[in-house]
Amino acid sequence: MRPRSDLIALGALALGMGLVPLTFTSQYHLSVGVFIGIHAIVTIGLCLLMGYAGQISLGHAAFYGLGAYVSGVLTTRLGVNPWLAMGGAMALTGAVAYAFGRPILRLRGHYLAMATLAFGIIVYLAFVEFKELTGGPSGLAGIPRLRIAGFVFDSDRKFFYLTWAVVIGMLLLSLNVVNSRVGRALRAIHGSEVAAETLGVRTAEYKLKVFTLSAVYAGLAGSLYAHYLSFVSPPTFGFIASVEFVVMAAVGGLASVWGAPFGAAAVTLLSEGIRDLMPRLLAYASGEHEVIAYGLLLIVIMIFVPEGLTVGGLRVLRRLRRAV
Amino acid sequence: MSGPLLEVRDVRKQFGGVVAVAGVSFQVFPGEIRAIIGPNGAGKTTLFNLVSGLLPLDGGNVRFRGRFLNGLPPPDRAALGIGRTFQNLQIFANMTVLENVMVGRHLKARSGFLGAALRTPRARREEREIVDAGCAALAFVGLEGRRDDPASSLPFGQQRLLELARAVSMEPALLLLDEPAAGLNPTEVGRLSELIYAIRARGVTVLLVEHHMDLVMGVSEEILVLNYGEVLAQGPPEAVQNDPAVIDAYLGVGDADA
Repeated sequence: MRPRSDLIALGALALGMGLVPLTFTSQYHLSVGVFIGIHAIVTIGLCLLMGYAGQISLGHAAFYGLGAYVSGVLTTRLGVNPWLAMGGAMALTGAVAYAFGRPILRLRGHYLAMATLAFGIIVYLAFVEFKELTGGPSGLAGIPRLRIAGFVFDSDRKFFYLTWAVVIGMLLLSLNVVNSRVGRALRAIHGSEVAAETLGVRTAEYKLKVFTLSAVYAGLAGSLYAHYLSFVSPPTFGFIASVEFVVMAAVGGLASVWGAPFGAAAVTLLSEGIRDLMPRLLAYASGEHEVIAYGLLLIVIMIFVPEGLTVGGLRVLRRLRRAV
Repeated sequence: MSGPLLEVRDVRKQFGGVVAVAGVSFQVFPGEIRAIIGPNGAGKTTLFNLVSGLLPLDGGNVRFRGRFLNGLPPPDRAALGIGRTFQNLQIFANMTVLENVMVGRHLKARSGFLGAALRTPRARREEREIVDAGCAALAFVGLEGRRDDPASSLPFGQQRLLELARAVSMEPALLLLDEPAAGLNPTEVGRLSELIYAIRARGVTVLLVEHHMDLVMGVSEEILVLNYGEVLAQGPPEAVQNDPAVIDAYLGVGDADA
């Protein structure tokens, strides 16, 4: 049961993103495009976890960071091939999520949120403190670029295409999962855990698997990030980043993985805008002030379009069409 | 099969100081339609929760096809062939009517995350089977016209039917119906008793908790009467109806639904 409209939309997204580098040629614009794509990959995973299975994570930046650091450490310290390192980043992030998710996914609601929050902080501190491995606060530099048989993804434009190819691939896989026995089981858990259990859905197992899957997505995104910037440092993967991902998922809309790229775009562009604007408004403004804007954005979205931009946007469109 | 399908022996359940089920024993035989009645608070739903595994037992044991169920989680009991519906509906409001029923086919398929993501031939074949069986289950209760509507958009009576279709699509050996007639109008109740017979005709043994006495007396072959967590009487409808203890309990409590 895969709706045909999903495939058409995927084709349209591929075409649209293919055209973007022809319109926006500046390095700055392309790099924002790359970040939107990388954030979208994390958000797709978070959508599966939050929107479909109804579980929350306030620590996904930790998995994002784990992916980035595993790629960075394997390539710079052990000379591993970057593609292999990317596989390693996904595998290790998944393994950590599985081990950590086993005990904590028994928690519900606020307690689960607190546990994931604590996990994020612990992993962040590990990035800072294990200096021999991670380079500590000064970060890890010299991460090699991705290459295929002599072709190096060294420009923003090349990396833009690579990132969005991955985004579209992950969207396709996720839509397949959503429209399957597994996707229905996840939504059933969200709808009524008791009913799901009595129909034979092993809810604990599904929660753990979708948590692991969403972490693998974040690990992949982190690895892409590391090979794109060739430099990683702890602040990228702190608590604020985790909040950003949740805001992206909520802004895009939790009802569908389609919300992810839109949520990622909206929040990434907003944070770029704020970074530009804040110092002009407040002399001593720092990055911390972004959080205020995220909070306001989240409140506004929850009040006016609780389904998120995609579903909410479609509803507004439908209403307009009816009015015309 | 000659032995009981379900055997409940000296089952107990206590909530704090309140004894909800105080040593109940009964058997359900294959192919039966058996009802459990009793005033509100008699422990009927608690008993269902103990059989389907939503609550742990405080004493006694439950056997299904001779196998002890004690400590077995609900999905395992579902896999053994125990299905149920809920008194306070538990439909998946976030899904369509057909998708709700398709979850009922969960145990009939195997493909997991990887198979689903890659749409392997097996996953696609299973998906087709799930859709077909889901549609058949909807047709069985007469909801095929609403298959693509959000489940939450159905009126109450149809939501009850949807839950029934979902449980039937599991193809359980034993179906526990928790007050299936609650909130239904007389026409719907008539239709429900036909459905219960049709479910039994499919080889499903039915155990129902119900307040609606016309339905209970009409469909069930055996009735178990609970009062204050204990078995008050047990037997065919006529015998139970004329049992002085039962009359006393009902008149004493003044059950309005009866």
